[in-house]
Amino acid sequence: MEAEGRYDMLATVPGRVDDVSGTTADPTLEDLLLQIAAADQRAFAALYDRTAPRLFGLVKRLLRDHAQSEEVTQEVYLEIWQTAARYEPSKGGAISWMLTMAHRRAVDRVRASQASRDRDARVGIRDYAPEFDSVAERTEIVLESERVKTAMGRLTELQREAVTLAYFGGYSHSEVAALLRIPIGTVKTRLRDGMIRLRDELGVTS
Amino acid sequence: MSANDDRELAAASGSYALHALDGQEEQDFEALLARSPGLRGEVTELSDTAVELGLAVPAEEPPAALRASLLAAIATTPQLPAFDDAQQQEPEPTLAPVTPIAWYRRPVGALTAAAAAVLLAVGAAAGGGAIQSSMAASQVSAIADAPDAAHATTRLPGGGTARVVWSDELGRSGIHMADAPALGLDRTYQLWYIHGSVARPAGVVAGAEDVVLQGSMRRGDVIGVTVEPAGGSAKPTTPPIMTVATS
Repeated sequence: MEAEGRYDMLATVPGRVDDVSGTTADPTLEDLLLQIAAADQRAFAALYDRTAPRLFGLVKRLLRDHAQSEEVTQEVYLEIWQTAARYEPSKGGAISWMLTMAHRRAVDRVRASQASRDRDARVGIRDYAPEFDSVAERTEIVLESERVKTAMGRLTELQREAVTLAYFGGYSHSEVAALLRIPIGTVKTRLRDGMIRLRDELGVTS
Repeated sequence: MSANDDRELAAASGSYALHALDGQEEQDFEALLARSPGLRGEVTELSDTAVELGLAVPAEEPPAALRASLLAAIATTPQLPAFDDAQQQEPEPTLAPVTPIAWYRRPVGALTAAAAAVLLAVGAAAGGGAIQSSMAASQVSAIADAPDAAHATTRLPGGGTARVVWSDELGRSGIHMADAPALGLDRTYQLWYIHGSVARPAGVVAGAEDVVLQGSMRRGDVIGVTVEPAGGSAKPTTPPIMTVATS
């Protein structure tokens, strides 16, 4: 595993990174998924080109390790290929479907791998010598969307910390509870209140 | 489950949307979700909110080799049909030409002749055929009871989960797949011990049964599952649908 705390390594990559919605001339990601469901390999390549930096960036944010991030990204795209027919446009956009899948897989890997045991060990150590600074340091994250940054800024510090550890750190709520030395019920409440606040700030409706 | 329990569980909607629930609790939550239309609305919104967080993470270009490896992989990876649409034509399984594809990041072709020979020898020594599942279940429990036993549960791409349990001391591992998609008669799930670019065959599994992996697990092995032609393959012909690192 790579060293902890290298949050600065995720610099913004110039290029087609924001091309998740496509231009008017291009098929939408949703169109591409439909074509992929019919075994269209060129559509798959196009989808990959337009979304891979997004998914890889997120996976690597959770896993830190480059090689593992590649493996998980590969698994995610294979899952997209295999299950494209199960994507239901009525339930949300293609990028939501894909990012949710990527986050899920990254979280599974983080908990299944050595990374998770290292983290457990550190959580244990922190029980004896709590260093709040290092928790605070963990919750420093690079976000490139001003909108999301502003919304995160509207959370209480405690909510922000819990949401950050869970989403960007891939910690389960029991791990967050151990890290912050608070009851699980409190973590649940902070995560729910924090996410509801973010939903309202970002104007997300179903 | 009482109304009180339900209320307490429903309060985990934020944790659920963030993938922060532990295994059993996640299953309980999903059961509640299936019978609570009101909760579904909230969960959808919070999940969409989580996606907004994901979109705010700086993008990073993956290595070009990943693209090449994926495009090679999909050419031989069968697709799954849509969920509940029996009329939907089943995509033709495209397994036929059994060519080794890039295994992880390194091609299987990188296997040296000596390593391949060892691999075959291990396969032959371990090839004892199917184990009675009740016997296998007790063997899996024996692994789970080892002092150093560890386990991990992971979701399968087509639905269902795989729970893997292993013990470094015993050098053994077992797997239980639940609700994995049925593959039909011409294909099977195959288990592997993977070390670097070498994958050692460790038996096949039909679906929902406890199976002890054949052969011995070495320290640092990754346990993987692929979809193979019926009877299994000497080396993987498709990328893994799941992997679990044991160290």
